[in-house]
Amino acid sequence: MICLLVPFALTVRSNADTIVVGRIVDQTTESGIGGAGIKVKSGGNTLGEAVTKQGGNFTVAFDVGSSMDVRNVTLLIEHEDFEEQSLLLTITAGRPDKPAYNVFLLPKALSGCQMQGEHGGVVGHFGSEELAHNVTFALTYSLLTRIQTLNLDVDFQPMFVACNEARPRSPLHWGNFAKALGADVFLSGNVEEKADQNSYDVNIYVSDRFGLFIPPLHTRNHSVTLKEAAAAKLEPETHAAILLAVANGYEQEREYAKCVEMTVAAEQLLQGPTPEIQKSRQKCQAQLENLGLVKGGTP
Amino acid sequence: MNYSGIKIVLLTAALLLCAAPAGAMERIDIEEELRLLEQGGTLPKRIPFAKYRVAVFTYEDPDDTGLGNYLAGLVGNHILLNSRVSSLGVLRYEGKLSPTKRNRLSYFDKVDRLIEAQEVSLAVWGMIRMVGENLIIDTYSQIPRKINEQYFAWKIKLPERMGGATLQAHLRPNRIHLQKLSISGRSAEGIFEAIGQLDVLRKSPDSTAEVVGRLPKSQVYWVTGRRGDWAQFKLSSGLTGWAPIAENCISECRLLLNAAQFASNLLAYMQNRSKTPQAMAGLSTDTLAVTEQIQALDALNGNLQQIVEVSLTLAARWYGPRRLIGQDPTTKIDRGKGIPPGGAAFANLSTLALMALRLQEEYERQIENDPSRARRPIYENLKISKLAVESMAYKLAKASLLDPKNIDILHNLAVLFQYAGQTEKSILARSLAQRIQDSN
Repeated sequence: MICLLVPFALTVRSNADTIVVGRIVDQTTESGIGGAGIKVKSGGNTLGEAVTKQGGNFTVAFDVGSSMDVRNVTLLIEHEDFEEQSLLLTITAGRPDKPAYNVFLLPKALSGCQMQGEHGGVVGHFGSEELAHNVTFALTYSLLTRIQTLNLDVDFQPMFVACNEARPRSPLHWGNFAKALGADVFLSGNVEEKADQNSYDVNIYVSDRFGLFIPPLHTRNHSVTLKEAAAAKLEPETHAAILLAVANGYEQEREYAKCVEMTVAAEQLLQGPTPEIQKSRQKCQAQLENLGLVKGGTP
Repeated sequence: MNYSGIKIVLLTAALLLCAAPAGAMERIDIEEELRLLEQGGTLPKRIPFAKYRVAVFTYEDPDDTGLGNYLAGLVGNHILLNSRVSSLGVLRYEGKLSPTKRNRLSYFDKVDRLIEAQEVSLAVWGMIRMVGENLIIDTYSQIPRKINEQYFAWKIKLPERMGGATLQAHLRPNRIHLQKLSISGRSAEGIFEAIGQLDVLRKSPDSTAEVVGRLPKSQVYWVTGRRGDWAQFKLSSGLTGWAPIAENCISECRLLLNAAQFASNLLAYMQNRSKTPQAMAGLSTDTLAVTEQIQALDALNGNLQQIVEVSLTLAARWYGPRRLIGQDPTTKIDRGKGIPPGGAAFANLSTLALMALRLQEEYERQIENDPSRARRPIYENLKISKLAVESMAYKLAKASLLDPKNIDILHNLAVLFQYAGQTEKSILARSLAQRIQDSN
């Protein structure tokens, strides 16, 4: 009987049992994680347990006692390759507060790469750890130089983190890495050795957590000498794309003036506007209080 | 010797002892100074007797070329010997300013802190990158807030009949990219050999002459002479010696001195406003924008012809439908395209110029109608139509959307809207300006 009702209601009450269903997903690839341990806990007691199937789906049944009570329980998810996560569930009259729970887990390999609320980006795998650091260097020292002319508050200056472990397997996943790591922008790519064996062409893909660059923006940087830390020179287009993503980060935080300033910096870098820059700027300008000053604007 | 003769000798001696030397320099340890700041200590004012004090910072050197101090030394020497200001001190900051795990502040923010704390007139710093065998050198200058207010601010007081308020402009950007210089591998070789040579004191101005000492850290020393590419320094210990000004900095490297010269010109302008800085070949777009902005703002005090031919013409080169793009024929500097350096600073300048023009026109119209008025001060009775002012305000308000935190623009909008009778817009502009001021 229970099994028949699940597809329709997802959560079902059966005598003393409460049933919680859901799916555990890899935050970076959006694929289901099989073999994850699910526990429903209340205080120190484990009320119910389950293990996710191949596609990440799980069903866990447990007894919450008196059927009319409102009770809080914790859903704990564990997997050896992923960061542990827990969720607070409210069970009312034996029914959970959601019909299904989709939980996203971050691979343990990436746990050191998460940004802590700062603006900026994560530089992922580029074929070698050295190059990931070189690109991060290039961003810190050349892009930041540009941004510095805006006299931004220290707290709002973008920063960049190298994370060689961040290796998206498909271009579709680039944006997920930005989201998972709390970065405005995520960069990754590859290198192709040139015939002279002294230099490389470096392909850089830029994506973001806002869906600006789907598929990721591709730039090709020619004849790069990987041996030198500063050699990972990025094209102005790459810089501008990063600034655009950072601008969107400011927009999310309702820092509209800073968002506009970033788009100005992006435009100055490219020596002219692009439709993307203009679109992003217009969105932020539409929220500026300064809009009340223009003709027809309401103060 | 009579009594008055003694008096003159004593006075001369006293003047010699107390007078501020024309040029002095001090090498300072950055880390020590930053540590003091972090601990909340008060920094000792370096070269306090100098009227103009310039901080020159070791160039940021992420590729570890080892040239950071050398380049700062070249720039510092050039400014010291070529600024032509009457009382100058060069503070040569040496050491690393890169962000660390303990101190996440960027190079530039640390520079900011030190120049604010030392209250210098100007700061110069830069960055060296290696690309293949070539060196790419970026040089920047920063005008501190107080100095910007003191020397790089312009005002137009409106006539009493228009409310008597003041329109304002400040030089923007105040963090100026002076130059991007590329030095080929061959020229760079000589530079590497010269590392450390700038601080070696020799008995005579000759690289083979006997070494008598080194320019010390944390001690002031004075320039007492110059011969070609050599300067004579006197240390506080009394030791004198000769050090090269630009050892091995030849061919492309010499272009770096153009950036130093621009900084020197900014100092000269602070001392004498008739000496407008000039941008020159090999410098950046920022320098051209800054130069033309200063020229245009200075011309606001001129006659009608100057306002039209200098202020409005120069503003139009950067803002509006006649914005020039590409290489400037005189300086060969690329003007870029799109939004110019300084954001909407040229839109603001354009507004001030237009206001000055309209007031001048009104003045001349009144004189023409009644020549006897030329003998009386009539400025305070001048008035231009509210509609014309409202139109100026709307144009400026549109520009403010590109540069929403430009305090000059918001201040001016408050004034213009007030006069035009748009009280709510005036209040909004004033409150936005106040908020930005408070957050600073």
